[in-house]
Amino acid sequence: MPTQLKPLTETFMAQVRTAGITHVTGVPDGWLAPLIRQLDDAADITYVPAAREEEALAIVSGFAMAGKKAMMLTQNVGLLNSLGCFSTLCQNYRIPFVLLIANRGNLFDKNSYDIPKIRYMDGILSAMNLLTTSYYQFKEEDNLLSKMMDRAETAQEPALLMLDYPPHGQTVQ
Amino acid sequence: MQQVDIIRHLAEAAHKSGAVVVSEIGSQTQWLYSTGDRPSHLYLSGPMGMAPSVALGVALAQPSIPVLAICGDGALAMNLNALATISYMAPKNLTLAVMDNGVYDLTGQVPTPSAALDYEHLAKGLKGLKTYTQVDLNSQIVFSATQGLTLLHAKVKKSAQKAPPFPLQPTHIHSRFKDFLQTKG
Repeated sequence: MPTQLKPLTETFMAQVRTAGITHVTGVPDGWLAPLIRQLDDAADITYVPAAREEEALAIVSGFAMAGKKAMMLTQNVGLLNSLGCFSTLCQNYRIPFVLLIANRGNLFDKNSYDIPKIRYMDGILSAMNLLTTSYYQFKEEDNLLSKMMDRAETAQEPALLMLDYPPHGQTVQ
Repeated sequence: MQQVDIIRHLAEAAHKSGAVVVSEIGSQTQWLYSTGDRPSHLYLSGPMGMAPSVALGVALAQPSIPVLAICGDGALAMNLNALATISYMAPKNLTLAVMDNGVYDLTGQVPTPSAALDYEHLAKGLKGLKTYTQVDLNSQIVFSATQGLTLLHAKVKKSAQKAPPFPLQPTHIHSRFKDFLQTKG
C-alpha cells in the first residue's frame, strides 16, 4: 500500500513562525530550494543566501549571539565542508540554532554521487557525538521546529534536524 | 603604523559611537583585548576568516546598532566570498576594517596571498558598498547605524612584538556579548 508522506513544504513557514525563528541563512540543495523560496519571500523573515556553508555557520552564529532565534539550511556535505567552523565557533561558543540538513544519499536518492555523502556523514556524526533528529520519524509533528529550537537553547548548542526525505511530499511503496 | 595603534583608534571610535566590535582570531582579537576589554567586544577564536560573516549576522540581527568587524588581510583572503554575501545584503550599520600587513602576524609572519589584492578596486566591484576609505591614526572615524556598508583599509606594519595572551573563554564572551545587547536594547 503506497504511503503519502506529509510534505514539509505545507507546514514549513507556520513551523518557522511558531518556533519564533526570525533569521535564517543557508546554502541551497535541491530538497531545500522550495523551503528557501518560502523564506526568501517572507517579509517577516531575514534570509541570507550565503556563498559557502562555513560562512553560513558564521552568519547564523552572529544571529544567535545577537539574541535572535536562528536557523541554517545546508546539504549534509556542506556540513562536512565546514567541520572546523562548526567545532571551533558553533560548539566552542555554545551557540543555539536549528541546523536543517538535507541528508542526501539515502534511499530516496538515485544519484550515485550522493551515496558517499551519507556514508561519511553518518561516520562524522557518530565520531563527533552529535545528537540528531530525523524529520522522517517526526513527520506528523507540526511543531517540530519549535521543539528543535527549544532543544538548541536548552543544550546551548546547534540542534541538527535531518531532512531525510524530499520536503515536497513523496509516495513511498 | 602599528596594528595595535589603529585597532586602539578604531575601538575608541566604536565605543564613542555605541558600536559593537567583532574581532578576527589571532592578532586582531589579541590586540583589541590589549587596548581595553569591553562587553561590546565579540572576540573570535576560530576559524580564521569568519569575523566579517559573524559581524554580518550581528548587523542584520541588530540593525539599530553600528557593527565593526576588524579583520586581518590573511583571514579575509580565506573567506573572500563573504564580501559577495555582505555586498548582497548591504546592511547600513556594518563596517569592515582590514588590517593589511601582508603576513599572518601570529603565524611566524609568513606571507598572505593578499598582496595580490587591490582593495580599492575590489571595493569598486562590491555593489552594496557605500564607502571605501584608507584610514590611519589621523582619520576622524565615526560609526552609525545608517551610514551604509563601509570598508576601511588600514596599511599596517608587521608587529614588532607578539600580541599579548588572550585569557577569555568563548562561552563567557558569548554570554557577556548577548547580555550587553539585551541591556542596550
